[in-house]
Amino acid sequence: MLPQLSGANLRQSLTQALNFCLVLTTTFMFWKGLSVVTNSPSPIVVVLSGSMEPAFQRGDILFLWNREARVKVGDIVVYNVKGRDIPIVHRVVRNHVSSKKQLLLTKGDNNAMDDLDLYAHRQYYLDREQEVIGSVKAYVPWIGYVTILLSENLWAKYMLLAGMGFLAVLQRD
Amino acid sequence: MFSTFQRIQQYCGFVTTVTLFLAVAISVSSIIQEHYFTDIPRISMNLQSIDVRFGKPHIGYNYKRQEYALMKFDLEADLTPLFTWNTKQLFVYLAATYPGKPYANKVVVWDAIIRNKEDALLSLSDITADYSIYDVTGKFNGRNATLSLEWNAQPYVGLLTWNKGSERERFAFPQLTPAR
Repeated sequence: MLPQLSGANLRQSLTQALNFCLVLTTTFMFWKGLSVVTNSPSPIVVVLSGSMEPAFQRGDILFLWNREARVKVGDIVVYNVKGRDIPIVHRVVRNHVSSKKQLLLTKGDNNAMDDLDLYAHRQYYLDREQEVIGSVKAYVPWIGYVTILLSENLWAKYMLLAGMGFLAVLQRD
Repeated sequence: MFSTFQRIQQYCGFVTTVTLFLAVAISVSSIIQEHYFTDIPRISMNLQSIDVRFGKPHIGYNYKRQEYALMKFDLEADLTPLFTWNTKQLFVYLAATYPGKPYANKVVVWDAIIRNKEDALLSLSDITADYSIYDVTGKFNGRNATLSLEWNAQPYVGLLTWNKGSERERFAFPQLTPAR
């Protein structure tokens, strides 16, 4: 099952390895290209919490667009509070716009209170430029649940790796 | 060419392609339907009372003591034309827009989630707004404001759409009642 290191087989294996790398890098390019087009560091996100139910359930996939200089009240935005790394998907419920900046207050549909407690200490509003990474424009249900399973469930990750290894071995024969 | 593995692979590939096309077809058709074939919903609203007080707008350590406004209003709206077969929910909200220096402001005072067509006929009278309005500067100074009803249609799959009713209710923030 290991590649025999004769001339033709070696080239075949190297070609296969090269193809594999090509697939990886093309995917990466696509992802970064999408980031550039949408102007968002993370143009496709998976919903992780239930704070926007019944609109979004865990595992739904959201497509973001970040080229609007000003978001509107009622838009659903994804933001990172400065200094924290957790993206939060909530709806804009308040909006104060000046020519220089836009201050927002957000709230999850399924939460009783707005997000003031989620912001940094003494921060009363989000800054659109600095903390919002995109507003949700399109939505596909459930497909992202696989990534949640993989990241939260170690057992699922091992199963996937074992399955992929098994298929690779199977293909050789 | 005909091994089990390859058959499974081809089958999965076919299912994926068909699902993708189906999702695109659903989104595009429901967008066209929403844009061209729905009637304009009838809306009527009436602001019954607005009260400006001084204090913490909500319970919680993060809220500053400032002027805040509580409102009571009536709302009648027939939002049934907005429901297509691809509508998962309609997020309806009543927003107050008012000017200021340097900020132009817009605040949601009430919202509701409508999940099916039967519930889309709203007939609410004398309800208190869910959220109070407080300004960035902490004061209203008797500014003029406008109420409008807006909604966000969330599909089962596809693009989200936002729209608003054409009716507007104008009011002015009353001055703070001086008695404590």
